Amino acid sequence: MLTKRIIPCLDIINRRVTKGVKFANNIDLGDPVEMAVRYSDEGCDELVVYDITASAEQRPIDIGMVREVARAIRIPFAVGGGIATLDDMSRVLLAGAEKISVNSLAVRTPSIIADGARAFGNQCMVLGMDPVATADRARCPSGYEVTTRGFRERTGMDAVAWARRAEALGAGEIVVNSVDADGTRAGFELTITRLIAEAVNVPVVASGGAGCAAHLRDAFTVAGADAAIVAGILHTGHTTLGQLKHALHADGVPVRMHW
Amino acid sequence: MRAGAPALPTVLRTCTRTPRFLGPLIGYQLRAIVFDIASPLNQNLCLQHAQPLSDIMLAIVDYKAGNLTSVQLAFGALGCDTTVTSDPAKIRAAERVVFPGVGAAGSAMAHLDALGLAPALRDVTVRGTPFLGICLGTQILFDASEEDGGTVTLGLLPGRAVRFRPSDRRDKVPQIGWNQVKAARPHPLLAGIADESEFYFVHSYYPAPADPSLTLGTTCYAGVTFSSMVARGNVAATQFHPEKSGRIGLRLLENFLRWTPDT
Repeated sequence: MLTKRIIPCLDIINRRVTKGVKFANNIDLGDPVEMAVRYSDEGCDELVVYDITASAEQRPIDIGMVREVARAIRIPFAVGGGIATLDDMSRVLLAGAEKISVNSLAVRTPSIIADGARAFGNQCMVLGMDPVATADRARCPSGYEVTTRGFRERTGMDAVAWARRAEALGAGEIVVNSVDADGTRAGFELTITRLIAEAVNVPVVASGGAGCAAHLRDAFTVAGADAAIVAGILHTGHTTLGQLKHALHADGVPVRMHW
Repeated sequence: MRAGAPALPTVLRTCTRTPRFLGPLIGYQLRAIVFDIASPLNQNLCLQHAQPLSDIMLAIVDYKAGNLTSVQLAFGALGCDTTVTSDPAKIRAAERVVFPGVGAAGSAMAHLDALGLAPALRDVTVRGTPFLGICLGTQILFDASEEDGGTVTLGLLPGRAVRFRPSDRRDKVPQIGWNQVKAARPHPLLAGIADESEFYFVHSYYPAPADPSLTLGTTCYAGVTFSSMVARGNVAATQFHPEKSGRIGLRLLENFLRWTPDT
């Protein structure tokens, strides 16, 4: 049986892992390569590395760091932030990453999803999206609107429609990162995660709001997510991958228990 | 052992090739002594050909079907230097061949044809060179694939690659993630790996061998139990990615490097 994936997310600023709530109050949490190795040793199923300031600073992603992470771990990882062109994608993949995550860039230039999928395969193209609840059902029938640039800009795009379009363009996986839940540790935003998981045929990753194993269980069993991203609760030592996996296993959720 | 047989194994040659990058740290391991395997005493001792992994001439076939970095990095982590090549001569000369691949069967076959690689692949698989297919590389070893409106593939193994057709919408295609591989029979590639260990998969099509005896391991997804690992003679192939499957995947790759197929 395919197991549900738990994916620690490393947000990088200046080659250091940081964590902030809603992109503010960032704190230094450690070295990305060391943390990647630790989480890999502790049984994480995949990793995500976001160069979170690359886009804002209009500089390319830190390829040296991607290469170091690739040398250090033998599990798949995705890279996001600062990817603007097919050349950038190619560099990231050749450095040893498994997947490219695009978010704001795909909103501005949706064809990048199709171009990337054609060049590298759908499995390489991850669409990240940051939906926020909205009352504007006329523009956003799902009740969720896509935001960009670290939640700073609303796009007027319906989150479910955008997920469907991205899938049609060639996205092989969709990360649903709730603006409202991000950093709260109050649980994933199950409604929009479920709406998207039911709307597309590619795997959906729940993101934002993980506080405990029960939140992951709900993302998998209630919202139908195939994977879940965790960050703060692992980085601060609030819990461990082992504790999360044992609790999920005890709840009957299929997770990888031996590595 | 017959009376009067040699009391000591016959040493035919001493291998002293220098490691290319491992340096003096493990230099003491690299003086492998190759015994005359015809000697009855040697047969009794079951001596292995103790070739260091760094001395293996391993070719990774490059046919523009995806990214080979993680395959190289994984073998590098085992101390094995690899040659990534599209050169049929280098593939023919290799002691072991890895045939990876990510992407679509149609374009993969077009690239193989353009590079003139199919004859070399046929030669090494027929000649007995230990050969490992991975993911798309595995699928196109078979006769045909359903992908790209039906693609004729290499035909080195009987069978075809077929698409997942889940009846339950919760089974997403591609399958992405860690799934169990259940051994169908014992095999040197599975040595030291617990049965039903998880490996990392990324695929929409899966191998359907025409000969069930090819199946070495099975995996359940989207309502089917498919052959996630096949082997016949010197050819072994995995639908999953051992190079991205952590410590257990590395063990499988190490087993491949140490594998002496029955001939």
